[in-house]
Amino acid sequence: MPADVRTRLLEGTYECIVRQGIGATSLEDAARAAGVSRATLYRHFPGGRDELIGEVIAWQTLRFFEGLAEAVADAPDVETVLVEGIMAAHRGIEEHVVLQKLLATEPELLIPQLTLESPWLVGLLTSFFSERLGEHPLREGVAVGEAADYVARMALSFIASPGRWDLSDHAQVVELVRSELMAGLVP
Amino acid sequence: MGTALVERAPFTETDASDAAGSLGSGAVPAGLPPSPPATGSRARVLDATGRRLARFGLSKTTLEDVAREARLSRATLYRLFPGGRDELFAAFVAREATRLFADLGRELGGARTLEDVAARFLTALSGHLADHGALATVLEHEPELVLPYVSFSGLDRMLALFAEFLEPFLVDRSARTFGRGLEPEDARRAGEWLGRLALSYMACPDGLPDLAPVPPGPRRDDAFSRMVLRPARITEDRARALVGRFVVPGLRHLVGKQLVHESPLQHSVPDQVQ
Repeated sequence: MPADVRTRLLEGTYECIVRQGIGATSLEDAARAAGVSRATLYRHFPGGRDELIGEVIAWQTLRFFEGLAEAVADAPDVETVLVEGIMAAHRGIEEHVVLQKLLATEPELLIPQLTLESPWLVGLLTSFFSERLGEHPLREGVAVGEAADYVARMALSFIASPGRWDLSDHAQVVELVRSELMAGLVP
Repeated sequence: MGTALVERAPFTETDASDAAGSLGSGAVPAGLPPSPPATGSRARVLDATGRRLARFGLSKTTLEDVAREARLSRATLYRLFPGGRDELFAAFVAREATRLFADLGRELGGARTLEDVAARFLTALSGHLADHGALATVLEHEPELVLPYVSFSGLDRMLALFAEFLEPFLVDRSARTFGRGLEPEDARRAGEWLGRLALSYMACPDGLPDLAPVPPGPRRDDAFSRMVLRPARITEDRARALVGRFVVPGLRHLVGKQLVHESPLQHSVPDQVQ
């Protein structure tokens, strides 16, 4: 069991959410699951329940994207990063039991939290893509930062909302990446 | 932003058939809930609903509030909207959505090239949404009521509407620009693509500021969260830069693929026909 109290609180609260959903998870439940007092909980999350729930969701989101980064760590070029990354993200979301359950039962409690994270996620992904795109010759007039921002926004948009695309179909994802993400970037 | 936009009805009273303009087909997507033009008392009630929502948001808007604002009796209101508050809000949303697409249709009708129509879509859609008083207030103070419509499956549905709406414009303007029209399916994909861009770039159109995300958790009052809850208009310059840089090359590639597919000879696609 990790010694870090904050992590125990996040993990304990997540366990409660898995068992009983977001709405039914109280501060008392969270404190009990982590084996700490309410006072201790407030010390780590002075914003109370709202802050705690928000932090749990953000923590799980970060773990999701860290998993994606690992999945594409060996990709030889940006196109492969995008193809493998988008497919892995789509699979990850479809197969995420807790996420799917919450989307079905408590969308109004989960979706706003996730959507409010999106600029932060765009920032994370922009940093990630800036590094990869920096290694790549870009079309004249295209700056790395702006290209990374564009790719980050588009990738994030696709992950939760595939639209007309079948993101489990490798050939389609290749076509998507080439026509909509890379076409404007590569010379 | 938000509370200041009270008296305006930003979506103009427009006959949807006007929007056909230089298209030859209706601009308002079939996927929208029907909204016959409202007249008389019904229109007054919907206008009053918009004013009330812009000032107080949704939870604090009851049928009685709307009746008072519209200077009509509660009985009249219940006669017009027997389904009550739910029916009233559904009718309001349907009317605003219909007006939005009719306005967009007229604005895009005047765009000459593919780049024009794409850039104007980004600017017009973001501008209309950012300036809508009722939407601004509800989004800022009751985001849980709006955000499900622009994420996950809600976003899929919204993108399908944009794809359907933009298809005829993109087919027509790609023919003018490249000498060859996009295939309908490619045009729909392109319409979805532009929808994604418009909605994404409404949050921080000019790029994220250099806020290092030190704690991993964003909060409601965070600078980041504000970008989502207070969307902005994408300026014309920004829209043209985005479209010119990131979209047009991909569209040219799509049209080029069609030409190659149809003939064993290599075709090169002109940058601009006119």
